[in-house]
Amino acid sequence: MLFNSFHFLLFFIVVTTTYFAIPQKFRWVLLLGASCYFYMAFVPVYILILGFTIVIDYFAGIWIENAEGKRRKSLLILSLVSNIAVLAIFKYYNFLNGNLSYVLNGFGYQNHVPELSILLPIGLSFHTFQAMSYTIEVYRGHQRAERHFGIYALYVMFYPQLVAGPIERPQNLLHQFYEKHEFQYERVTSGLKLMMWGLFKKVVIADRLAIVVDQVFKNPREFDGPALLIATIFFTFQIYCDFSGYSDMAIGAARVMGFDLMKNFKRPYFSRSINEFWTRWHISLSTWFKDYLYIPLGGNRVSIPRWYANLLAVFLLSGLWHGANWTFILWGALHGFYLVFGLMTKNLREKIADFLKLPIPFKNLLKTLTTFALVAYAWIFFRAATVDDALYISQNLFKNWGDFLLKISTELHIPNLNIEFHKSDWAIAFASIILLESVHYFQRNRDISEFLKTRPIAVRWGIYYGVILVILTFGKFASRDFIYFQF
Amino acid sequence: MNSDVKKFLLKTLVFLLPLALVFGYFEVRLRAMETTYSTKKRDFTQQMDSVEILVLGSSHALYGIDPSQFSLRSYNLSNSSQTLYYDEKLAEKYLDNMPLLKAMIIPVSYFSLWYELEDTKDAWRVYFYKHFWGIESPGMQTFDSENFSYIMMYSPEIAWFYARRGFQDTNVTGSVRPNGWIAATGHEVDQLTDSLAKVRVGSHDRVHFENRLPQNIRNLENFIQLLKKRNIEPVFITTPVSELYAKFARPQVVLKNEAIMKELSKKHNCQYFNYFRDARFTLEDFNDNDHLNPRGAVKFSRILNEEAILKRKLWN
Repeated sequence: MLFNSFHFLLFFIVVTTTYFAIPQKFRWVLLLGASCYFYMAFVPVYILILGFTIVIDYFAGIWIENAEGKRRKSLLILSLVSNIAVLAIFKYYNFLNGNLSYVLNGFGYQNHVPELSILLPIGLSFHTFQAMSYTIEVYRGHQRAERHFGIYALYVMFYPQLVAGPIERPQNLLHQFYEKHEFQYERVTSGLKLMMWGLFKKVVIADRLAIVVDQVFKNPREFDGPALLIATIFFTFQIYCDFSGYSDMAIGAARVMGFDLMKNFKRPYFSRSINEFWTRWHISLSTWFKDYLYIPLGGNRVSIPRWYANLLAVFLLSGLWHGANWTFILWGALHGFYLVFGLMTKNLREKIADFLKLPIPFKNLLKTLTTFALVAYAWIFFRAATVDDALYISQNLFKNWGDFLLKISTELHIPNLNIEFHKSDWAIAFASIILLESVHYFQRNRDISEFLKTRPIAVRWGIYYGVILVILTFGKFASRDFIYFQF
Repeated sequence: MNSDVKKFLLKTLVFLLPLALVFGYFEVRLRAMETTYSTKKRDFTQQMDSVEILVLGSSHALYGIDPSQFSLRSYNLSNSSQTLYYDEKLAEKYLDNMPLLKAMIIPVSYFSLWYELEDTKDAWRVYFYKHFWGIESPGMQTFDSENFSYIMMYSPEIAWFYARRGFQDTNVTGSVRPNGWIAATGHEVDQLTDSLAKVRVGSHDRVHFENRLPQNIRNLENFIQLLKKRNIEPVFITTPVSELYAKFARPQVVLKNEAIMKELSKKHNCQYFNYFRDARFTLEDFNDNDHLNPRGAVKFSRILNEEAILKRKLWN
């Protein structure tokens, strides 16, 4: 069930109304049932896989808590291996098998291991990581094992964040299922407004930009540099609006019912370094990797080469987490390289900046633009269907611009880019990106919703009506999956 | 009921009331609006008991085949982006109501065998088939908003567009002839360029999905058998395209299309006429790179009448 669907609207109204109408002791049953229905609206049978990991981790949590010494660690490993095995079978089996075939063919052998004809269960990486964080936290003693099977199942399955996060931690979420949430006007309206903003980002911006991105990335060789560059920039905003739009709707839906989910995005394209970008982009995943992989590997409290190796390892795995394809691994590797290169050249860059005596605002703008360009370049690998396509786009981004620039300067209109996209769509696409970044710029110093509360009702309602009308008028409502569902 | 709930309900009611009124007004007006689907359904159902030749297909047939040029009484039931799936479903639905039917003209365009309506930016049209013809698409979901609301079916963007024009689509409905043909607006030289032809073929190549082929062939075979059982002649055609379009069309697709259609025709003993690149049609006959203008449509319909209808003696 997609958040941007009529089905979800009905579902949300029914579930939320019932949630506040029934006694607290039955609420977990409602939420668990609703979450099962929500998940089964995609491919019903995959709830069995989810059920399998829930049962394993539920018992693993209790056994780890009751065990002592080496047995605790053995039980944790057993739980982690079970979770990773599910991921490996459903997400990585065919990828690994395909690569094995490639290697064996290189040596003149044939791979007789069959391919599996299976669909990737939706959101598998998200709920697997959330389940793993539970057993790890129980093992570390930061979280008591949950004895109530229904509540534990709800922790993994809570519908707002089940299929695309935020990837929650048990310390933040589990206790909230025991708390009684009263209907609070401020909270409910704040959640609804956040959902509306998320919907705007998804249907007005992301799904419109997708029209251009899909055309260009499907057959990149049919397009010249200008179209390739525009599609790359559009994808940079598309993926942000798609994923952060989903997160906003998830956090908003949970907030309406009284739950607090962790923030997943903080205006990432205003980052001044790749390091900062990763503290603002998909925060729930980057902190997961930090807490459960980077720090256990030693983090930065090791020798410098080992530190760099740790960073590269984390980003390679982060790439692999996103998808079983070399394009994702290269995307992760690029980010790892950016970080290591940034650390290696930090002193040199600072010396150059001091020497040039650049004004601070200009220096900050330069940093932001450079970070944006690096992130946008890496997205090419994330979005391209194959490594060949990604390399082709990389090599041709700045080719054949002459004709394009000549026509712009002489005829004062954007020449035909061989892309099917109406003139009004171009205008709406650029206008909505500008609006988005203007809102982000405004939010640097103050929360826009808090600011709106201080405005007269006519202004507030005028803005709400305006956003609703823009969503209804310019939104693309053909059901289109969220990009991160595939992970 | 606590005070927060009361406050929320009251404010929500006041906030939503203007939106609900506008929404309701749009729904009523859109439901009353004529479309090519409603016009064609009305005209066709009035004539179907006397129809001898039924023309199906997409916009290529909609603009390109004028049934008044045929020697037998005919109706053009094609519509923009209509796929082979809907051709078959429409035929199946009304076969029993067409006692005089002798033949069905089924166009197979460059892209027809390789896609389904849901794959395209025209996917919204599937709901028109449900609302107007009662034909459901396999990909349709019970809770799709388009099933309940005409605003969502048209998309709010298009609903606004029609609202600005007084909820009338005169461009389309006004030009649907009583026999189902639409005369395109005429020869527009600026529509016939290399770059636009490339974009047009590109848009058709983008809906080329190899995995759609087996199902489309199975559907076609079922369709042929359905017609043959009732002694109705299926006549497959490929409509003409401009030389510019043909230049950019992928030769392997053109050849594969022809091979598939020839094999099907041979297997089921039916006719296939391929006019994809026919020297009798010049740029003067086209409205754009792949749609005939009225002059081209009349010319093409006469050729079809001559070669597919009279020669086959479908009137006997």
